[in-house]
Amino acid sequence: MRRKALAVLAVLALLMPMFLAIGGMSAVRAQDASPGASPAVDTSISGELNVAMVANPQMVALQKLAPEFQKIYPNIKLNLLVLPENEVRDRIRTDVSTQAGQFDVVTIGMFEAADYAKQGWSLDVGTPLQADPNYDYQDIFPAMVSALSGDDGKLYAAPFYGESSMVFYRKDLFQAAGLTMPDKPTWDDIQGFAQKLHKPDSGQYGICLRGLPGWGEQGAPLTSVINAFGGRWFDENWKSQLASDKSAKAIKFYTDLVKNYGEPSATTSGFTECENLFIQGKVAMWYDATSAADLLADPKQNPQAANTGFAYQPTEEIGSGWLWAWAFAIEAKTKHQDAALAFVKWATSKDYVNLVANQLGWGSVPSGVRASTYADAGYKEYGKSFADLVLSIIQAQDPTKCCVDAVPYKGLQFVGVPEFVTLGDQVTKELANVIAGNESSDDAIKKIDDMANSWAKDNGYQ
Amino acid sequence: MAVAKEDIAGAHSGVAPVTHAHEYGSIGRWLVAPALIFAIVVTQVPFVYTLYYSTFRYNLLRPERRKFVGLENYRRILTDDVVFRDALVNTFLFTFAAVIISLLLGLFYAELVNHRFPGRGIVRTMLITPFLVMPVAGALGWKNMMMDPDFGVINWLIRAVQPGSGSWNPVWLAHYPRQSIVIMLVWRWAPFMMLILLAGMQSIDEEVREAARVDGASPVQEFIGITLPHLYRFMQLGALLGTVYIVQEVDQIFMTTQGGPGTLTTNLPYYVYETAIRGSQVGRGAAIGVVVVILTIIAMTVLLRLLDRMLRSSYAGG
Amino acid sequence: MQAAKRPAISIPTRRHPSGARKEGAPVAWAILAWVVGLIVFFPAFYIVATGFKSEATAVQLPPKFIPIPGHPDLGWFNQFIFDPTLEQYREVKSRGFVPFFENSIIASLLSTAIVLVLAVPAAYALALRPMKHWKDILFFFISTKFMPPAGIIIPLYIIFKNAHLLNTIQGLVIMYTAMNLPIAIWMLRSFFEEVPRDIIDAARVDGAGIFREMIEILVPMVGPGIAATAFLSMIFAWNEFFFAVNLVATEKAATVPLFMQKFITSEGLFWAKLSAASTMAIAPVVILGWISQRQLVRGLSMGAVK
Repeated sequence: MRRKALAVLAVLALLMPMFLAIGGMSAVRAQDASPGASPAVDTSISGELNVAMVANPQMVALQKLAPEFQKIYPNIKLNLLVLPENEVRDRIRTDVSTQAGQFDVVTIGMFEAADYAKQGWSLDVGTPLQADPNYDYQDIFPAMVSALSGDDGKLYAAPFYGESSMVFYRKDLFQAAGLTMPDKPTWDDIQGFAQKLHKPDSGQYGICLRGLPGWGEQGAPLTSVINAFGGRWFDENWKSQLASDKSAKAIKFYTDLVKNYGEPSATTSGFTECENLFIQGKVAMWYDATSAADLLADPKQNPQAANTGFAYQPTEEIGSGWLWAWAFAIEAKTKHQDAALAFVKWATSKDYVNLVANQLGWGSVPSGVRASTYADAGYKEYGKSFADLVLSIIQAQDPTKCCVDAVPYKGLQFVGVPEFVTLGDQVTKELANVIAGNESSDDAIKKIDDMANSWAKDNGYQ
Repeated sequence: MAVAKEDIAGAHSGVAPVTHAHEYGSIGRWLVAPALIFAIVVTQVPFVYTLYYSTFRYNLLRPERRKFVGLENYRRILTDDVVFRDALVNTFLFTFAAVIISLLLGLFYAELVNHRFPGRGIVRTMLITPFLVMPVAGALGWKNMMMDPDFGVINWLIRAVQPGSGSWNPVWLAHYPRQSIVIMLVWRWAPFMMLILLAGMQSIDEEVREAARVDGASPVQEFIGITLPHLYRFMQLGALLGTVYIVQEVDQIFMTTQGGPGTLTTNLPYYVYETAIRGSQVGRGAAIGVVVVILTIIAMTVLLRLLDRMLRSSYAGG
Repeated sequence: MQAAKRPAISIPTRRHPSGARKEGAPVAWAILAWVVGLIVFFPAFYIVATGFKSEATAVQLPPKFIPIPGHPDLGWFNQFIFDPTLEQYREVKSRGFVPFFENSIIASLLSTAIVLVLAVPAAYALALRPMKHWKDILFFFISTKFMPPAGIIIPLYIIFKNAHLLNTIQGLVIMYTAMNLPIAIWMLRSFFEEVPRDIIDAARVDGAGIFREMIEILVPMVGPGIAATAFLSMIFAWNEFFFAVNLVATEKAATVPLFMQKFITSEGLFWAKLSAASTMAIAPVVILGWISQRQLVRGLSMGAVK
């Protein structure tokens, strides 16, 4: 026993210097020079804010810049809780729907915004934000505003960063194979490219697509492909359309594409995993959210940055509709309304974008929300290969029209009713089974069609 | 050594609750009371709530549709719910496989370190470590560093030893998802079993062993004739505790497959999570939870009785 | 039941318990043991090693698991060697781990202490002073672990909300105590049962009161068993994730598992950072386990062979 204890102590003694060395290191210190504080700032606002945020790079950047907020509002104490998407969603949903008020500000998206507003769980932020001339409310893309508004037309969550979808591809691999990416590729084009560039024996895969079960993981690109092929989840009477010709074709297309020319780890690959694969140079193409563009263009974060090409959202019959924003909502139960509003205003302001650019570089900027970002010379320079493209994609999205035919719900790459989570999760799990090769897509399509109909009946839609 | 059979069974079992004497006094009640009251208040109050919710159709996000439906949720679970059936089968499979394999592996580990050799302490330390690692961290490690078809160590090894153009590059979590989950479970729980079994091994009387050796027993005979019988009660303790814990394990599933592909890795606790939390269907989730409790009570009672009988029969001979 | 025939107070000791085999094991045995140990240990080791790599190195194959500073040339071994760096730990440290660790330490220690205070008398009573329906009581305790936490978390959230227990360490302590109590009672009960009957009889004949019997005689005897139970309880409390993530909102009560979660982002590559954070998260429990494993084994083997 003594000998063992000595051994452990020896190990600890060796590790001690390491921990002491770390202790000496200072944390990342923000540089001075905050952009001019707007005259509408009331620095006497006080309160303690609990903020729950999804752990995306833009929020992590915000966490790093929190001291800047404290400088402007010394009397507001910020508690930022940052968690991965699944967990933070569960957490926020629990708190908001039980109105427990553990959080004052939460990050939600278009999926939740209108519902929370309808239930009276979130506060109208549009009115106070519009009232502040320095905020430049008109600068925000109208599509973002309308998708985050309640039925009364007021904004209930201030968009922090926004995205649509696009294709990222390896220019060098394309060149070597003698391929050219057209300005507006179709999904058939993409499939052709993927086939030619799929060399699994050398560890290169044609395309990376999300296969991880989840309405917000596999569900998003899958639904956008269904949109593109002219399909839809439900018709106006909430009858499932998943087995309809166009939707079924789209679903088959997606699962075949991933299975045949995609990454082998597809069933456990979400946004993060595909991003990693692309950065590691293992995939020739990647179809996903435009917000990844900022990161992929940064040579510090993406060794393949110089070789990364950006292409328009693929179309078939129509475009692959996709619109999303992570936005800050203020819980109705908050006891610090002014402070919450001050925070939301600060985080979604033009000044904040500049702040990030100055302190952390354009690669960490929350883009996709304000026109001014895309007009900024600095961002234009940084994003010369993608910024205009992303802008045109986002502006082409119509949040009220996902599909060729009419649908009884809102949302482009999801079905915008709260109960959809269950159906989306179930369907994507089933399709993951197809991708894994355990089931044929025909069988699965029949199954998910039944699932969708039972779900609709169950929840009173049919 | 003429001692009453009940005494032996009672004294040596952590499992079959038999007691030394039947002196039912009142003092015992007072000693148990604090723990009992605490447990009742903290667990039963929420449980009653859960029972209450289970009689409602209640989606937290659509409170206006909340409706009392009596036993409808239960009826649905028991008749219509295909996913419940899959989850039930998976729970049984995972638990059964993980408990048995962990026990056997734990036995193997314990026997390995029950002999003196250089560095025995270090090896025992290494064998214990998986149990100490946070399940979430372990699961992520397995998913990304071990089982990933592109970056994982296991696949690298497989590719490295394949001759020439062989290209078997299994995607563990897609093609063998259940096995992968069981592997993660066993990796975590075998050390736990090892601790318990090692304890049992080290309480074996050396005299008995020596006697056997003098009698000419081979190491294998010694193991089967002396070690194993003595270990039965420890194995039962391990099986019981292991089952209680492993039934509820979801961290691995949550971090890797999200219950998929299909419903291949959805077990009952994960199904409850999917329903009650992801899907906000508190009523239905509560009902599933209650059904799980009832089923586990039944299963545990059977298990206890089975182990009890096995224990008695193992002592019947002497 | 036989009457005790031995003298009044004599503490029976083990009759030559084996500990480990006295004779050394053959070389083949040692090799096998080492190989198995290394294989089992490798995943955990790899996580720790990756915490010392740069993000780019972290995802490279062949797996680099030999840390050697500088870039030495060791021929074929080069592919397994990496240059350790502390950059991930700096990053992790800059994200403020201290409050998380403090909360975890408090929650684990406090809940374990309460578990012992509740479980020792209860286990003693169930083993040696049984009451009517003691079997049912024992089963009841273990049955509290049958409900999947996800099924109970919403009601619990609402109850906690009304009791102002949300986002408090007290709330976590209550949950962890409830979580570990059944196992503690079950294990301690079996340890108490192992205590030789004659000691108890002798003590009672001697007129020892309950508390004397319990505290002065029995607790020391099952001491290692109590230590083992306490240790298991601490591990489970420290690693607990579900209640921690759902009942907590800020660093006021956030525990180490939550700290680790901060590093699972879509921020490009993060395996090295996450590994560093994971290593810090598991280090206290692992080191504690390593130090006390002998105790653990001894504790679990409480009781002499009769």
